[in-house]
Amino acid sequence: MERKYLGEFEEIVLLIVSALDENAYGVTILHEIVEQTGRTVRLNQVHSALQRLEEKGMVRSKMGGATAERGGRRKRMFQTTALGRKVLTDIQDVRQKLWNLGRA
Amino acid sequence: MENNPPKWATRLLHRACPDHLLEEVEGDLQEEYQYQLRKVGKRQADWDYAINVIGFLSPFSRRRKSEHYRPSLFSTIMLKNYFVTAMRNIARNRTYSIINLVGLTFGLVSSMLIFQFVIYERSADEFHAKFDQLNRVTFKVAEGGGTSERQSQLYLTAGQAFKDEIPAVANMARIRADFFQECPTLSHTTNGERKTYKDIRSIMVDSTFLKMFSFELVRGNAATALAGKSILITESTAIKLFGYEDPIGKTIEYGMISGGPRTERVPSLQVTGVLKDAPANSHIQFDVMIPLHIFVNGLLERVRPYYNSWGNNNFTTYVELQPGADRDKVAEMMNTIVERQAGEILKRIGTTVSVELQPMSKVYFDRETNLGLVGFGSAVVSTRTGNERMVYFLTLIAIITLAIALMSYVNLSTIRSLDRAKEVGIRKVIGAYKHNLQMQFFMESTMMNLAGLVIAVILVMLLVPYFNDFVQTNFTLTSWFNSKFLLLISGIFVTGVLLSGLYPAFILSSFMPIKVLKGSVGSLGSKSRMRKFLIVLQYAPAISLLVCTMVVYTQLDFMRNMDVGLDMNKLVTIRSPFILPDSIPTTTAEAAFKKEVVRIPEVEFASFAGNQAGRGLNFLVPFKVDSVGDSGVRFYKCSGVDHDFTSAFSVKVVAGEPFTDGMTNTYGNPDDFTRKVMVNETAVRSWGIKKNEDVIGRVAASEDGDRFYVMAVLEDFNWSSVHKAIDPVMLWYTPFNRFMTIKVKPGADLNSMLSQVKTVYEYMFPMDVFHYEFADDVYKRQYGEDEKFAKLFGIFSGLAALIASLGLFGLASFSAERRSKEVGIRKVMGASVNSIVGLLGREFIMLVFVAFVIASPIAWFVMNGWLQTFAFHIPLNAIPFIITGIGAVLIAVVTVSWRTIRVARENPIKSLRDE
Repeated sequence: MERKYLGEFEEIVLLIVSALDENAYGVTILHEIVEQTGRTVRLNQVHSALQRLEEKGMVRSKMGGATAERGGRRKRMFQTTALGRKVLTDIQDVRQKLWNLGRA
Repeated sequence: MENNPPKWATRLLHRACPDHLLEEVEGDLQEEYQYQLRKVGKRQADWDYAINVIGFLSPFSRRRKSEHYRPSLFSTIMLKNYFVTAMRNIARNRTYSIINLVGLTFGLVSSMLIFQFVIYERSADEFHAKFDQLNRVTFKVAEGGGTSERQSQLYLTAGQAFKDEIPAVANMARIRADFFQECPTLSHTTNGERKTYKDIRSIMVDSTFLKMFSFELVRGNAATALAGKSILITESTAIKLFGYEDPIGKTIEYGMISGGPRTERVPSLQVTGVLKDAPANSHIQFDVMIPLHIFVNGLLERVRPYYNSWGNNNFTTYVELQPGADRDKVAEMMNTIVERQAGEILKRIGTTVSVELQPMSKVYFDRETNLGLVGFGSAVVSTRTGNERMVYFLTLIAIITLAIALMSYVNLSTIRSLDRAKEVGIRKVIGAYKHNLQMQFFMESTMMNLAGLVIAVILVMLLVPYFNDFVQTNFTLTSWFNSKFLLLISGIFVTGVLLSGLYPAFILSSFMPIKVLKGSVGSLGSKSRMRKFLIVLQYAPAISLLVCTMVVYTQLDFMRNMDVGLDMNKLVTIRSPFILPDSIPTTTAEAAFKKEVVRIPEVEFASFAGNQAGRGLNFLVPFKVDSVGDSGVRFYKCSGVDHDFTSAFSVKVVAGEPFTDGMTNTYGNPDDFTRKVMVNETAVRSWGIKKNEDVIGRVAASEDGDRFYVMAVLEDFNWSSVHKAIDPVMLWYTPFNRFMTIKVKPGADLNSMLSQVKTVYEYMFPMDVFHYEFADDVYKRQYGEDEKFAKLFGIFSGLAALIASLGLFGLASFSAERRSKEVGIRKVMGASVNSIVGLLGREFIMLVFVAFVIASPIAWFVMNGWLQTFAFHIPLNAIPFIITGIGAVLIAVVTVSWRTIRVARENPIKSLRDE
């Protein structure tokens, strides 16, 4: 199975983009990661992971609405693409298979 | 504003973050800040914010690609577009393109030719594989605590002693060139036909020679070729002697004047090898090579001990040092050996001697070291020395020419760029980035330079044969595959592209489209100071070069026409016969020959001398006059001449009586006075004697104890060269000698005389070959190098001036066209064509004049230094400066008015109509 390489951090970001559904952008992703994994992550890491994912075609983005607390600046909203979703399920499948291997 | 992040961090972000990323990044940062502010308080939030900003600075942060389409710098579509635009531009402005192209091409041609020559000269002798280990042993001689002179000639025995006693000396080889600057007589017999040659350069070498030096042997075995009675010849000599027959094993009779029985004097040698011709940049030059032992064994019993003693230095000695050997230490050990062997003799004649080791890299350009006048001047023919000053001057000219060409290009593209400003504006509006425009302009300059390079290469290929002929080198295309040359040419090319593209690329591409399209950039006034500066900068060196050329030619002319005190008109010099029938001694043959020659009706005088004018005198004798005991030891140039010498060469006798026919050459008791001599006025002055008459009858005693009786004083004449001051000269009486000079009777037919002399010669000496030269040809040959220098200087300076003028022409015509509206208005208002031409041209002519003012002192300084290297030189006066100045301004007037007049004569309606 040909699959684009996905780093561990990228996988987390991709999962979170997918989980956040319509509300995925830099800050929410950051907070979600911190909350769910307990890691200390910096904003620029999130940004570059998102850029890499976008280059790989696993997420797509568009500029979204501005809020007052952003000083009136727009957000870049992210969405998983079909490829992104497929990659995630593929990974999940492989993992599952491997787990099952151990039990059998 | 309590809850805002630190301003400095935001500013930093603005500066460092790409524009298209800024919004989202700053938004996220701001939002996160607000969140942190609520959560952990301002202090911690500020800190966090700063850390985050730093995180976004490149190179920590990746750059999101711009949303705009941004073609790659090297995308084929754009490259094609640049190419097309460049071609259109070149085609549309044909005049300027041609001017630029011609300038660049000429600059490249002259620099390629010159650098080829310079690299060749600078890499002289480097073809020897052991280049780094080879050294020439030189000998610094100081007599009587006075001036010291370096010589290249050593004792025969010294080389062997060095090799035997100094472990660091891996090998040594000695060279002796043939006698008296005269080449040996070679002859061989094929199919019963005998051929004899006199114009062959021969060196006699040790058997180690081919091991040390990398002269390529194409036939024969390097290890054994120099053993026994052998002779090695070069390829061209092989063709000259044997045509296309196999030379190996052929017999050559080699005429040496070492006396003794004929088999020794004219040994028969077997050709054992054929060598490639020595490269022109080798300081050792030869046509044939024979083993040194043939010469040593052929020496008379009488003179052999003299050669084996530490008294006679006639041998150029080379040593190959072990790798890593300390040159100074070796030289010191050599000095110890010389001191031990020759110290006593040297002390007796009041001479101190020190040995020096000269690395091979220093030999070729060494003109200081005496090549062996003491050793009868023999090494001169077989040694080539480079002219470092010529190499230096030519390098300078090449750089100047190139610089002028590039400046001219820059200047023209600068002024033309005003036309391109609109194009830049439009391109920018349509969406070109600055780097696209830079790329475009560099592309144009690359194309121009490339075209120039291609044409230059073709031209150089066509010119190389002439150039070779001229500087006596043998460049071929393969000489170009020389890493130094290729590197240099690519360096020049890249520099050319960068310099010529720099201005348009950086200045033009930074024009603001709005301003340009509105028309506010593009007036001639801006940048005009820079342009003026460049005009002066390209004209000044060109004018300097022209002044120098004039001075060089004037000096050359002066030397050619200088009264040297000898009348060499219609003088023919004939070599005395070498190969004689067994029983006849040389002097008898010479006497008989002269007797026959003077019977020819066209012959006015026939005189024997030891050498030819222009080739120096044979001996250098240290001596002092008895009356001036404290003047120390002086070296005098000496030679033997007969009684017809003064009449044949029209040398004036200012005191005493010249030699007479049949007089004895000794005076009084032979033990008292070895020789009767004539001296020149310089010699008299050097003794501190004012009146010439006072010296007659005095005695000069040489350091060897020989005593000379002074019979006459001759007016100074320049026997050797006008490069050097006249030496003190002493001529002794020798009725028969190696060179016979014949003076033709006024009005007599030279050719008929020559053919009669030839008949006599061939009848009397059938074994030998008749060889003659015109005395003034031989004398003028010494100016050959100066003439070469002058011509090269002239040609390349002319090229430089041409390039500068072309540039000026381009500039003047461009600005005239730009101002055509102004001209139209002026004409409508009543201005005459003359006043308009004056108006348009005045600026340029002023600039040329300024260039002349700057150039003059530089040229004066350089030429003053150059002239000082000649003992006899012209005074440096204002004439060449005035002529060049007027010439330069005239050229400027012509170039400037060429186009200007056309513009000025045009009907004003034409220029004013279109808007």
